[in-house]
Amino acid sequence: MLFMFDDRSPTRAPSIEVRGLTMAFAARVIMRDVDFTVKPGSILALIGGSGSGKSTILRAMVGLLRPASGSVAYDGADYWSSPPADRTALARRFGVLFQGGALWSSLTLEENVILPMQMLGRGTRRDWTTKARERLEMVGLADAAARLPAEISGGMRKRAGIARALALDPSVLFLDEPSAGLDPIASRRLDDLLLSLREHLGASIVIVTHELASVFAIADTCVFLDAGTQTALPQDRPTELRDHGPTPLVRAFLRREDPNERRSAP
Amino acid sequence: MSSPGPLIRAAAGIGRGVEGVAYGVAGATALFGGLLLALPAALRGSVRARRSDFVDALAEAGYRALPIVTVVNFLVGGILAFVGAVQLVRFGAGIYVANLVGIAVVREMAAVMTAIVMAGRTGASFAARLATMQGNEEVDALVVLGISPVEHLVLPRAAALTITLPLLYLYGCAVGLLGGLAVSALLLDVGTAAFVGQLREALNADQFVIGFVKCLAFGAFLGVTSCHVGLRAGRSAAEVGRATTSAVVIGIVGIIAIDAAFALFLNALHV
Ligand SMILES: Nc1ncnc2c1ncn2[C@@H]1O[C@H](COP(=O)(O)OP(=O)(O)OP(=O)(O)O)[C@@H](O)[C@H]1O
Ligand SMILES: [Mg+2]
Repeated sequence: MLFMFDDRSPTRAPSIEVRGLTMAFAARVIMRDVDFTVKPGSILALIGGSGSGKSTILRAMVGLLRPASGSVAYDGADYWSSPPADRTALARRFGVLFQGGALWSSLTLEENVILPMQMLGRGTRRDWTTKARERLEMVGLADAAARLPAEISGGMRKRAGIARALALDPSVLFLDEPSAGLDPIASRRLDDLLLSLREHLGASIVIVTHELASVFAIADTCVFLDAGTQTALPQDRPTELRDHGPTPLVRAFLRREDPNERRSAP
Repeated sequence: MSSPGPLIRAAAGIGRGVEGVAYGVAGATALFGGLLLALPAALRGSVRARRSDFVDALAEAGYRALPIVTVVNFLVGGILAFVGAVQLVRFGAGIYVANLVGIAVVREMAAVMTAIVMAGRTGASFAARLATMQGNEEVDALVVLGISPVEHLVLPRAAALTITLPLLYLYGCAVGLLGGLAVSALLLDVGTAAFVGQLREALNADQFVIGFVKCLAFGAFLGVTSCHVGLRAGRSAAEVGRATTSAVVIGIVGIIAIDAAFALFLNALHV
């Protein structure tokens, strides 16, 4: 499948360095001392059990939740200690897909994709409409453009959320479980779409996913969050973590095995 | 140490309540400040909000509220005339019902009743809408784009309510006076012409200006607090209900407090 993107010199993706990130709700610590790096144009998968803190870390990276300690640096400048104007300028380069889609419920899918352009971009309504149609087409929702979020299925909502995240040609994409609710073919198409985004826009992608096939297919590196110890394992290639991961849990996780099950020798 | 006695627990409860109110007031004040900062941009027309949101809010806070504003104000005007008539007729002063209805409706009742109706209707609906958006992460989706929810969500709604409430007040005055007239005509031997003539003597433009200005304040207050309560809601369905209830309670109590403040202030000015 071929995807077309604007050739208007896309801004280079920033390098992202997360150092000593500790996330907590009130006194309850969710994750401590998480370190990882996203090189420009690379794809990082955040994996781990349900409730381990993947979405929470994503929220710290996009500026929605202040970390208890640690830093999230874009091109060397810590997001959370930057002045508000710098943060806003940086946030304009982000494309974010929320776990629940977070589509604006009073707007049609097309208006959902148009709104970021209308509020922040330049151009005319005709440009926006054309581009919104293109984005919806990319995720296979061209026919549903005029529908409201309440009138589409969960998987369609996810795809519409992706189309919206792509509205401003982001240089960093944050995707929270984009393939949850997608059928295998749609999920495969999404992987292709993400790879071509990286290729054509040079975008970096941070993806939270439970889809192992997708982790192995597209992720350059992978960070495993262990809810038991509230720590993250050192970042590594997915196959490396599967075959030689430092803990039995991560090896089992990536092999889709139950770590507690006793395996009898063959 | 034994567990704290009831007195200490009550004191702690009061402390927490005061703290909650203080946070609420601080938050609403900050929101109000944010709105004032966004106002110049709004007047230049370069605000990050959708025009259609504003138009929807105008409809919601405007003509869609007409039926209930009509009913409530007509009945209040009628009730005032009825109570007045019963008393005044005993002194042979039936005609002064027009004075009573006129002053009471224009200066107080049309303003306060219309504002209370709007607190229950539009304030509740704004709070529920914004709380739902908060729960769906729709507000977060704006924030990550660098779009301020105050500018995008609160400003169009608060502006709409500040514009429509004074207009609804003028309409409420007309309906309330009509209600008074209808009851007087039925109960007393006061003709329409006499009633209107008496009204003209009792009322002057000042009374309307006072009611109008009060409604500007009520509208701004309701718009800001109901949106603020909605935005502060947590992420569950129960929070939507809670936000709606507190928007209405805060709205009604606030309106009455503002009205009392106006009364004291105007009294000091001898108006
Ligand atoms: N607003 C909140 N207040 C308190 N605790 C929270 C809040 N949001 C999340 N948590 C807690 O933080 C932990 C991590 O949540 P998070 O949503 O980041 O998990 P996750 O890894 O994304 O899980 P999933 O794969 O199920 O989406 C959970 O234990 C959750 O209970
Ligand atoms: Mg999650």
